[in-house]
Amino acid sequence: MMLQHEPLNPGHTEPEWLSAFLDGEVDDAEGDRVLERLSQDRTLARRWSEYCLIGDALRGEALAQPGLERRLRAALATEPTLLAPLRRKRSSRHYTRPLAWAAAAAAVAAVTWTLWTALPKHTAPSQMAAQPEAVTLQASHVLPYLDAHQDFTQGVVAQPEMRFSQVTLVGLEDGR
Amino acid sequence: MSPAACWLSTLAIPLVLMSSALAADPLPNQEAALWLQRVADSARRLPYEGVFVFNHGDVMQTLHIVNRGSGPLKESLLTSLDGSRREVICRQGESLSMVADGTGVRTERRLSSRHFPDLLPANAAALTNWYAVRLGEMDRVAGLDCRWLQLTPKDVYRWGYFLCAEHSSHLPLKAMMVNESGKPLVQYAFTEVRIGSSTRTGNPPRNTPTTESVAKNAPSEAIAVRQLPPGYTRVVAVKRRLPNRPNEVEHWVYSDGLTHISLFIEPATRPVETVRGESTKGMLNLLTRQVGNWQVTVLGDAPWPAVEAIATSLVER
Repeated sequence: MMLQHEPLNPGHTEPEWLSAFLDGEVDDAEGDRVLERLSQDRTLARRWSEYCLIGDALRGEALAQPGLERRLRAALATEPTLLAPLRRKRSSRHYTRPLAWAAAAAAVAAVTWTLWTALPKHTAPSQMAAQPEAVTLQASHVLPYLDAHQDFTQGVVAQPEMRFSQVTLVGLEDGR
Repeated sequence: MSPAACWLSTLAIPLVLMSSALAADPLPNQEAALWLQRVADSARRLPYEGVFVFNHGDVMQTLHIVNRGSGPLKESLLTSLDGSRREVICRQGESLSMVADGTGVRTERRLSSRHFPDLLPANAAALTNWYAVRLGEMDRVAGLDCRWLQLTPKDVYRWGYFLCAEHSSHLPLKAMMVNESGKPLVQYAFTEVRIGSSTRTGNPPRNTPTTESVAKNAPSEAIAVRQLPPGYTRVVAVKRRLPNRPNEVEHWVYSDGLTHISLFIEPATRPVETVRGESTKGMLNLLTRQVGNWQVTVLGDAPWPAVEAIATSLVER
């Protein structure tokens, strides 16, 4: 059977509708078409599994999987990440978020990434043990900012739980 | 059913109402401005007394509130009904908290005095530039009839809001900040409220202990922001001391009236890693980076694109 290579949703690129599918944001009919293509197209299937891994890594669930780093780097090669100034308005907001998430995940994966919580009462998640290199920002450094910012938020007392990741700013000539 | 489960099931009701609100067309700007201004004015001017519940992530708090007076004489007193004993007096643009825990009584002065149900800015009509306003259905909160109002951001730089405004006074009885998928990030709801003159005189105004002012004006303007997300202006620029910080930190706040993004500027004593932070539900976003000789931290109860846009527009003067 011949593979169908037209975009499933005209106007959206493959990573966009794949991300949308991953986030459960396509309807049943479109979802069936994605699944059919995934079963037939190996490249697409690999990409799909990388997206899943990125999602898992972002949630801190998959760091122990063998070969993860190699696969994330492969994903990175096809997903250059920009933390860019003001975004252009896109024709459809529906698809922007999933792609942004995948891109952010790739940026995180580019560097050894570490998660911890800003609440001192919590112990560091197990990922820290698996990844000994730590970023220099300390949770204790962030707490005063959170506290000072709460002067202007409407939450009365709540102390939010935060996680941090080292990222790379791409495409900024000045600033440093 | 556990108390938590009961709470969750009561939260499910407005989600249904939200979908019906979504079906309605946005109000014309003039009408939308009128609605928002009524809601804003009611929370600032009406005396009221009641108990409300605050929910954010896994945190739930119950607070008693008394609001008296209006204008410069406005004063409100919040008392926590669970957890550590905490009283917050809000007046004249600042608030003073008194917290009693195992080690004694601690006071904290804060730079703002806003709290539920006073969520909309004084010039609420201007919000119609950045939010589409829709009227939803009637509902009932704390035994009173109220009308749902939905504020949907017109771009990616702010969160959405749902408010249920009491039908005659327009005081918000319930409010929700929601993400781009309509999932609640923060929720407030009165469980009981008496609107109008309070029958109880409450505690007499206390002499607030004099503490050293937390902040002073005169920012150094070491950093410039080349481009801000639409609708954001700088509303605060102060120098202040923060705990565990050797130097004074400049604290700027950018706001569109509803969303607040803080910018903290301090000398970079060593190279600064670029670090992104986000709260569990994504409500708060943060980016720390080096700009010239400065360490800058952008932190907001705003979607990532807004924090990212400001953080990537910074230049040293």
